[in-house]
Amino acid sequence: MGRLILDRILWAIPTLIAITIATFVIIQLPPGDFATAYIAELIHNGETVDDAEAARIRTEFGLDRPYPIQFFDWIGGIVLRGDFGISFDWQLPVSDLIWERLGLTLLISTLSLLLTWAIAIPIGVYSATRQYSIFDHVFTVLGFLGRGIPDFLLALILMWLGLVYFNFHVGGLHSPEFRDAPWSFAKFLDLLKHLWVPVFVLATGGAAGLLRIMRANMLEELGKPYVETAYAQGLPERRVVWGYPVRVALNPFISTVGWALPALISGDVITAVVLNLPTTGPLLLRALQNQDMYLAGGFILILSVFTIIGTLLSDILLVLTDPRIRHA
Amino acid sequence: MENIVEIEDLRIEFHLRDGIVNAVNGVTLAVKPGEVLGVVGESGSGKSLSARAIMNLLPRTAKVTSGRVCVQRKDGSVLDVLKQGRESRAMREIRGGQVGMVFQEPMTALSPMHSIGRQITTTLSLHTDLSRTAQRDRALELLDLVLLPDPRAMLDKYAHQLSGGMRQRAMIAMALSCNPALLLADEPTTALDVTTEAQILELIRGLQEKFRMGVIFITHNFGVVAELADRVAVMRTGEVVEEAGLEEVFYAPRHAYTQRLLSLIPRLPKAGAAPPKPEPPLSQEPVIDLRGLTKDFTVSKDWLGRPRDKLRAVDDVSFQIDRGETFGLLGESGSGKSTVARCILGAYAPTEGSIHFRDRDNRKHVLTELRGERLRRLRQHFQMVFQDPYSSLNPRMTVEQLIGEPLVNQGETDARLIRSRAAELLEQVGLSTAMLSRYPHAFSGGQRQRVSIARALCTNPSLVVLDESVSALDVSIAAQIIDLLRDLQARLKLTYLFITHDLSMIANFANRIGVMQRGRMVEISETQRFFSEPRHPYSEALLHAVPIPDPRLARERRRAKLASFRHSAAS
Repeated sequence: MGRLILDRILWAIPTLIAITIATFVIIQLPPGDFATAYIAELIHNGETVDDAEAARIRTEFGLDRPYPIQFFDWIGGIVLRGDFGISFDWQLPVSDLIWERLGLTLLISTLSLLLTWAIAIPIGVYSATRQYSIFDHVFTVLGFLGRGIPDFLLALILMWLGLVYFNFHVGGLHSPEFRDAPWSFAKFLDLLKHLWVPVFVLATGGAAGLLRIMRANMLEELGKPYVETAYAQGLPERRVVWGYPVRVALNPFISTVGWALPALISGDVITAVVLNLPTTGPLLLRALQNQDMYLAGGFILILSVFTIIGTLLSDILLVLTDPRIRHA
Repeated sequence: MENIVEIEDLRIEFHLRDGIVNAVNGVTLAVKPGEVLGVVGESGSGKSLSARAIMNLLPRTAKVTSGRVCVQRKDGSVLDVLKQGRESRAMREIRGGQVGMVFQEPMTALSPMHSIGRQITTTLSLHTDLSRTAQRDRALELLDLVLLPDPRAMLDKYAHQLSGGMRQRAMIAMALSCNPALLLADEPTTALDVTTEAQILELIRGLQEKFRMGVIFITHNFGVVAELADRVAVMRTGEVVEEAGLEEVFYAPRHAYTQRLLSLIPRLPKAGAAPPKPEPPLSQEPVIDLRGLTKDFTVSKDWLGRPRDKLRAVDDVSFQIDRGETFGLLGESGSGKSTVARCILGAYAPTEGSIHFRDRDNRKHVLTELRGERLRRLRQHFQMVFQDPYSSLNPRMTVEQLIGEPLVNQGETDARLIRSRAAELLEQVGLSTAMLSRYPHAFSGGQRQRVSIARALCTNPSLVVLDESVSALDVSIAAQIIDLLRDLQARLKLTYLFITHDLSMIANFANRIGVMQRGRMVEISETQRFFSEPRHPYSEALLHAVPIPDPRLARERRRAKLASFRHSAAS
């Protein structure tokens, strides 16, 4: 088992190197660079920029150097000094921009993932064990509705309901008076008051899809002979269902739990924009639109690292939960 | 009540979209303590459902419309299980406590997520007050009782780490853990190799005698019944058509259905007596000639992707099959027999050795030297009929598409021609051309196998590989399919490579028999000679392991075995 994990960790290293190169190439792919966009904006604001001025701007940002040098400069800073560079657009260190938002993003996403599972798994199990019962049909209808309604629409409806009926502003994560205040208990309570909306919106959408998968997995497992064996041993239904087929049916979830990590950061941009959440999604979108090279690069790199860590976590969890993998 | 279980006038229905199916139709059965009741019947006879009624574990869609199923409890009181709730405490006490159950599929009947020891101690914790250490000791004792090697290590093993036979032993240990008065065994040896089957039957018989357990042994195999049962109930379409003592059923069957089933059983020739000689091959020239065929599979690779561990699945195998001959390739699971077939069909490239082929125009080809398009064109000369008629036909294709597909693959585009060829083939395999536009789900297992055969014949092949092609069918259907194959062979001058683990299937069919063991061909004999004087010890072991559908012979053989065992133990 230790060998398996070590093996995976060693494989992560070349994967990471490949990703940094791919990331850099992708950022450079679109025509032009940040200087082009910056100059266009200056001209748009009525300033005149001649060729010499343009070259000076380019040099200032370091964009006139050959690509390999830019690449090693970038990656060297990250590896040696933890320096992700400066965002051209914000004129702030990339790491500050990302880390500031990462905490809240992780909080929202983790909570919504947990809620997703807490909704989807019990309902999926119930629907499978009582297939074609009234509640199975009800949950099926709700599931398809949940799948069909876009998250941002649900968010809009919630905002509207909150504003019209409860006189309660649900946008953002803090009330205006706390937005720039230092952390305090009151601010924390205020956060909780706002937090449930995005968590609820994100979780219901995810749960709707997940419960269909859970139901299908469970139906397949319930038909297997080992379930009948468990009943024939004299086990009560609850212990049979939760102790045997559920454990097997959860495998596909466990093997994809790692992907939740990168999805936490890049996902749900529309919902985040609609709800005005200070999460990473909108920031990444803007960085890509403006060719804010170091910010976008830093993001993609962190996403990739999270993907690798997430997959590693999934692998380790699978080894722990499934003896067929542990003793392969 | 002197019986441990009494089933009285049990009727079970299924309400389906297109009507009501009477799956069990007034079954009455009883088992005394220490008695083995063999329940024999073909698929759909209601034998498994009747057994599940004893556990009150019928499918949720099943409706019991009448009848009683009485089980004697540990304290001697009698309980009508059908009156109990499925989840009631009384029911849970009977399951695993008073009645133990062993299923057909040793591969999937054990939990993949729990160790063998854990599964046994779970049962113990439900029905006894034993402490944790006492449970573990009892589990050890049980694993020892079912003769599993190294019981202590076995406790922590998982199902996927064990062979089929070992899993079935573990399953039996689990079923017996709380000293049940009744053991329900539903086809427990059907999925096993013959030598393993013989061992498991011996184990069940020994334990049954030791603990004076009642046993209901459900099977489709009369041979197994003859080895084990005291009394036999023959079931057909939800009814018990005949119930009598073992010898009475075998030597003086009263019901026409029993007589027919017994007459259909493929019988091994008696020792010394020659089996009926099959049609001789058309000519002595080999259609296929294997020389030193060897196939390695890579088990694991090192970090550069070079093979580290290799498994030799086929090891230096040479044989020829003459035109019009049926060559029976016999072996247990993992012996390499299917790998040989796949090498011939071109699905695997052999590691070493050569395969020579002579087509119908007497041209010679060396298959192992051909590549690409030329090899692909030659493929039409080889076809295969698979074991499982349910998974070997694409459910989304009509019979016409299924049968015509090999022609399409060979580049044929004329739809009319494909249709007429499919119709012609369908008639040849004894099905009506009206079925051309139907999908596989509309057919029974036997009919599907006929469709598979028609598909295999589409390109007018020289060699047809029959890979356990009748093993999954009921005996009466299997006999019909064998007749069809014989008939087609004579008419179309076909050559067969018949792969099977079941000796009785090829006893009256194959001209020659090759026996494979662990990748090697240990014996090739004329069929008659194989039965009268097997040369290799393994062939002899296989011959002895086949259950004989003849109770007296089976008993004699057991005595002889016991005597030789005592003899060897004494000397």
